[in-house]
Amino acid sequence: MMASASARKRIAQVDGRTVLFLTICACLVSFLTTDLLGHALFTCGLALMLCFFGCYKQGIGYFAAYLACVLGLYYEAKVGLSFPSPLLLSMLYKLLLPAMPAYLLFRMPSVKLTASLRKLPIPSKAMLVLMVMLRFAPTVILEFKGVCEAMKMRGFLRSPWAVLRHPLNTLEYAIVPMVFRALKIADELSASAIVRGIESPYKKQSYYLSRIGGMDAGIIGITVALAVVCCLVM
Amino acid sequence: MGKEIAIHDLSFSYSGSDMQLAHIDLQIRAGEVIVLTGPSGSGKSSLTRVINGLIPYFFEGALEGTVNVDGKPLADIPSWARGQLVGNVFQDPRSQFFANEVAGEIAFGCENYGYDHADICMHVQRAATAMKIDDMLEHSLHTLSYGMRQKVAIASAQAIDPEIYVMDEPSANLDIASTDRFAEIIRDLKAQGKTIIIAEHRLYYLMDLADRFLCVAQGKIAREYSAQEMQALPMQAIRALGLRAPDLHQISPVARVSAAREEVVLEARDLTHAFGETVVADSIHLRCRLGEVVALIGPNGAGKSTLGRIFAGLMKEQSGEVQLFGERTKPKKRAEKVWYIPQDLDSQLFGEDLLDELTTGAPVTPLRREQAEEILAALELSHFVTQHPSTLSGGQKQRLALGVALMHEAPIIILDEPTSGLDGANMRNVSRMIGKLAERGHTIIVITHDAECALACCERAIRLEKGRISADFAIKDASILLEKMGYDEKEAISWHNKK
Repeated sequence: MMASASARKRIAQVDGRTVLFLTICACLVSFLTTDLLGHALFTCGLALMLCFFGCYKQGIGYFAAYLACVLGLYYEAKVGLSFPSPLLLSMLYKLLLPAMPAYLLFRMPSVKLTASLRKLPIPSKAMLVLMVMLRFAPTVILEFKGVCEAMKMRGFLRSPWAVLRHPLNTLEYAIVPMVFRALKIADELSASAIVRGIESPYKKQSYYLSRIGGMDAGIIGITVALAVVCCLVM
Repeated sequence: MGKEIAIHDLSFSYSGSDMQLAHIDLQIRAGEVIVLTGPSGSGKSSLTRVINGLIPYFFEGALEGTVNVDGKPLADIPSWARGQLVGNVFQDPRSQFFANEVAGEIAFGCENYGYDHADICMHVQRAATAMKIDDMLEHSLHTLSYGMRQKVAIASAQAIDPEIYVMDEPSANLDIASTDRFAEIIRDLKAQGKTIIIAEHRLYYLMDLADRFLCVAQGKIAREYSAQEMQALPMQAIRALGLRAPDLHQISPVARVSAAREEVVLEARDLTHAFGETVVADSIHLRCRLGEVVALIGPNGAGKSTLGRIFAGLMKEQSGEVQLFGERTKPKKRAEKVWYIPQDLDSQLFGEDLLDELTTGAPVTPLRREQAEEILAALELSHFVTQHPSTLSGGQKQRLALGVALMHEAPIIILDEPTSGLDGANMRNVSRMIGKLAERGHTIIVITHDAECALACCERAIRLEKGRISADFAIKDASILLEKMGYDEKEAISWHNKK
């Protein structure tokens, strides 16, 4: 499902700090809330938020995965099953919530996000690390797809059974080329950033203007209200 | 106006390595276009890194000698400020981009150098207009073709308006039409008086642009030619220097007895596939015979790689069918008979040494080990058997990837841009290996933009354009292939006349 033009425009309009705030709120709610219903309500709110920004497929997908985790945990507790691991399911249950706004964070133009982050009181060295991390994450995901394809070609991922029989081998086959690729890309990326003055001491402005607008205020207000209801009231 | 560069008695070795550059003396005049060429590992990239200041600041090692720009030592300029003087374009734009959209990428340098918002917008707009990409400022970089990405990379360098440009194999991933457009961009920069240094294997598009060609070998500038002298070199001399042909029309197809037999091993019937609204395979019908070497040509984004991946079972066709050895075959089964070797080989290396690379994934029996050793010997890789695969050169990695395909006894092998970024000697070596495999009864499809490679090893070419086959012909002489690949005949004729 492709994001409509108006939804894409919304992503372009929202400030990076708002999405960052949303992510931090999601982390807090996920780990502070004790009530299942409250947790589910906040997740539902974030799924709707993803749809608002045109990420329908992701919004529905994340919420479906969340429901599957909850139902899986419920069923395992009732029947006494331990496969798939309840620990894994509960980790997913907790992590899916912050993953939703984090997805939005990666969908934003990275330079716009950087411009927003520069407005925060973050030391420049920490800022440099953060910028590289933000830039590096999508590349690593793309590279991982390439590695998975190569593993498929070699027959390492031929069937789920083959993976389950040799989990450590599978992990090794995935990690070794990933490490080599990541090191190479990190080198090339750093070199490219250095020759374009990333270390310059100038005060930096951006191509994108970074300001909190009406939509940001609305999103922050709804998020805070929802977080208070989910954590304190329910 | 560009700046002059004076390099005096320059030597460099990376920490713990042999000498990479040895006593180089070089004077580059302001506004000159210099091409550094020579075998891989000869020191071309190291020389560009000295000029852009990455050596010794980022790539550490022992550096001796001096580099002056307009009489001022480069070492006196702070590392962060050198980017204002020297604009850089690298081989793979994918790993040099810092933003995920065009405007942000072009703006990156201006932001770092403290321009205010209005200035940044002005510089971005000006650079994008110069590159004719001002209508795609909001596009995601991931959706662009290689040619477009290279334009963005140049616009990004141009936004800061440097006086010197350093480019490291900028055309390695470009098709012929994109390379022609890229040549036009260099022509424009030259007309503006910029000093341009290009480290490059593909020479043909630079023949009427470069003022000098410097052949780098073993860290030294071994020879220097003017464009006329370069063009006059006989093919034997070009081969002896390990270079690619300066004039593609000079090359003739390698005389080789075709190993193709009558049996059809791969057939596509009415094959269709699309990504959203972009159709990459539109009712494709094609047949490949046993032992045939077929070049799949066409512009960037025509659907060549997608077709290769569908044949190899890595992607499922949306409609139509693929038959292997006369039987309709599902993707999972296709993966057992068709081996796809992608362009980027670093993510394909799983072993600790070459033998391990070939045998990994199944128990190593004496028979398999013997088989692996035989394959390495056939591919002339036995000397490197104890090396880690990632330490091999591009050509050696390509041969190793062929070895893995042989180990899996794949009767059909698809290579995606196997000679991209390879020097002349390695390109010819890989092409020779492909021919050798065809003689052993393998059917090989070579997805390529490299006319030299296609002429060296392929007997038939299929041109794909917008997901459709627009030509299917036997490679009998260079001119038809070059015409179908988009090489500008008029340009070649005008160059010959100039000669």
